[in-house]
Amino acid sequence: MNRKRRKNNGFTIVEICIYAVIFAMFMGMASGAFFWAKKSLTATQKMGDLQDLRVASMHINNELSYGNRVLFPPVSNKTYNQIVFKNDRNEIVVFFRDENSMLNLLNYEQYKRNDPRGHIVIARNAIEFIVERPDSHLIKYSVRICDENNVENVIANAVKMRNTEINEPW
Amino acid sequence: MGKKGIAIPTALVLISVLLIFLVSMMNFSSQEMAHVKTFYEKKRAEYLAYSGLNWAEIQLNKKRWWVNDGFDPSKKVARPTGAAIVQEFFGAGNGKTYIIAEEFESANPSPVKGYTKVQRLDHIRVFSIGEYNGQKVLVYGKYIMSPEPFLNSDSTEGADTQTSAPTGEGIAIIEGPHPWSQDGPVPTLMIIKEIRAAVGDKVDPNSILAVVGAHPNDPVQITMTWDIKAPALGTLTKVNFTVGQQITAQDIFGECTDELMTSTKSNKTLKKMVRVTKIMDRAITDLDLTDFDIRRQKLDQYIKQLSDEYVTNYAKNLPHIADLESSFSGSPLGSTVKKEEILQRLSAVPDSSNMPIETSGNKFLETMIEKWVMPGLLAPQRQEFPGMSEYHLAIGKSKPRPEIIEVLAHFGRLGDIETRPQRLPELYKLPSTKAYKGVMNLGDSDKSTSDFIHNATYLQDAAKKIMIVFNKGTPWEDAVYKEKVANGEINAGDYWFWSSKNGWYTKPDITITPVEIPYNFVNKCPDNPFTMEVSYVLNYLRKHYDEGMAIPPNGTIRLPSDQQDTPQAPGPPDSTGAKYSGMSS
Repeated sequence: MNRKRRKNNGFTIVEICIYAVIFAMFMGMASGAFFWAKKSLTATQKMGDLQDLRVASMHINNELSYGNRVLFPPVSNKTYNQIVFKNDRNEIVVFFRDENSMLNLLNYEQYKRNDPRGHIVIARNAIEFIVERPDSHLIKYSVRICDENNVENVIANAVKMRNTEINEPW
Repeated sequence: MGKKGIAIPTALVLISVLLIFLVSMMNFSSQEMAHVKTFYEKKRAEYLAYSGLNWAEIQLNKKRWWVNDGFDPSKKVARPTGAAIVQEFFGAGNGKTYIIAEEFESANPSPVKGYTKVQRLDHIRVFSIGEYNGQKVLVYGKYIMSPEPFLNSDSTEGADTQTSAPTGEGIAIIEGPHPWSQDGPVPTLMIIKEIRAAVGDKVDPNSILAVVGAHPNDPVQITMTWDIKAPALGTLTKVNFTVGQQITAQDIFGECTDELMTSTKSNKTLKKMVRVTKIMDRAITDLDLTDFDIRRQKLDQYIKQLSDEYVTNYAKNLPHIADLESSFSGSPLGSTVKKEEILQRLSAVPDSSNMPIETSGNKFLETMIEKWVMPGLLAPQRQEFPGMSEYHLAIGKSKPRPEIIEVLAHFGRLGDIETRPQRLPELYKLPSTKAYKGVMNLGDSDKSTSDFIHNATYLQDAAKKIMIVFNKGTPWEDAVYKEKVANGEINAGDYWFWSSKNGWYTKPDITITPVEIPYNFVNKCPDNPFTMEVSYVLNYLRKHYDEGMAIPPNGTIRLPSDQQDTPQAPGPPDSTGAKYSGMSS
């Protein structure tokens, strides 16, 4: 009986060592997984932000490249913060960043008709929208956004208008 | 026993946690990859679609690729009215581009010299669909040409450029004689009976350069003669014939300079793919655009609506554009701005327009004629082009030949042949578009498009056509006349003495009719001089927005029976061709 009780309550050195090794391995894997997951989540978040930027840029590109005439900014080397132009139907369209750090598309004619496409937020957390017009049909712009962790991402693009009122080749 | 088994549950829990993280990460990653892939494929599909439109424009600059038969009204053949073609611009298996092109006939074709009736091509509608891994992008473009080509041809060159003077700027071709008689057949082979002008002489459209009659070898022998006249105001530079030589209507008699560049209606064809539009409306992008009936039932209305909105918004916003530009540029907004501030700056712009479409279009034309630039110019030329436009009346200053002047003077009708440009000589050549717009009253846009273009092109009372017909008796020499009057055979009051003819003539019927003459748009852009009748320039601009003056095809094939081009049979010469007729301008 005595022999049996002693056997149930005790651990051999080898058993303890094996448990310790297995525990260490599991802990290592778990903490690695947590660390990796956190890193991946950050990366995924960042890629999501980039995707938002790409979509915002696509919006600007789609509207602007088939437009007919830029009204603002003027042709110069200076930078500005809005784009005003006539789109492919000669509707007046404005891209601007508002006080809530939203980048907006305002189609004046559609907005006045209460068409939901008249006002669209195309990017959130936009901390900067810079526009330059080096020649009459070329617009350069950049959009900078910032996530909750204050990580900034920026996309820059240049759009040449394909239709022009005065038939200039593009 | 229970304490010993703790390792396995612990391991299972840890492995589960690990798997959950792995699955989550894979899920996040795959979604992200899907986003990027979709974005990439859409962009690629758009490039394919746009490449299709570029490809079509390059082909159309040369010819219509779906036809090989040129213009030949005597040999009418069935012709496709368009084409659908598949291209793989990124290589085999890397996406496809479906290009669909379709001819639209002009509903109001301008006449072409030498043809009683002719069909002309208004524009070509092009759709390009880029497809890449299931993503589809549809782009539309309108290929416009002015002057308009022959519809039943493979060409995209204006019909007029093929019938106008081919030798270059400022040179007018003097064509062979076009005999005509109201009494029956006329000879096709003629002989030069007389040449009245020599190289170096100043000529104008009233100048008779040569007189021809029937050649002895022609089966038709009549005693009539016909005149060859100068086509323009200038100097005779070449005469290809001498007295006694045979000549036909197809021969070129000679050349003269064309000082006002009036004889050439157009020396170029304006061509361009305009209104390039990405169509995102699923009601259209989901259609099978290769189906002719679907294009007619669904697309025509859609494109018309696009064009109407284009021109209506243009005219509605036009009075406010300069203010908007100065408002935004004069006091630029900060880096952030409230929506209300933007709306405040736009508040003067009306929400919508109730202006008729045609009035809107006329305003578009009025504005664009001042701003437009000929396609194909380099950047410095583009800047200079609008400021170098002149407008030349397509007729020079000329007066009828002396006999006509004598008759008119005798009957006190000289004052009736004075024209508007003779009273205001600056009308022969207007130095700028601004001056032209004032003279032609282009600000009056409340009329139909065709009336607007006509009124903006033709100067009323720019010339006077004079017709003097002597058909009431025989002229008599002085002695005979006096004898007949003395005998009571004729009434002296019915006759008048024509001093240069030295005879007594009956009183003629004199008809003087005001004539409208078109203006030519002339731009002496360095290395690229350009001449075109104003109506052709305006029609080029009109085609940017107007779908109303074009007729869609009836089917995919235009049968010979649908082709109505008819060469002109020789007819009466113009007013300057009759013996006692002339033009005052």
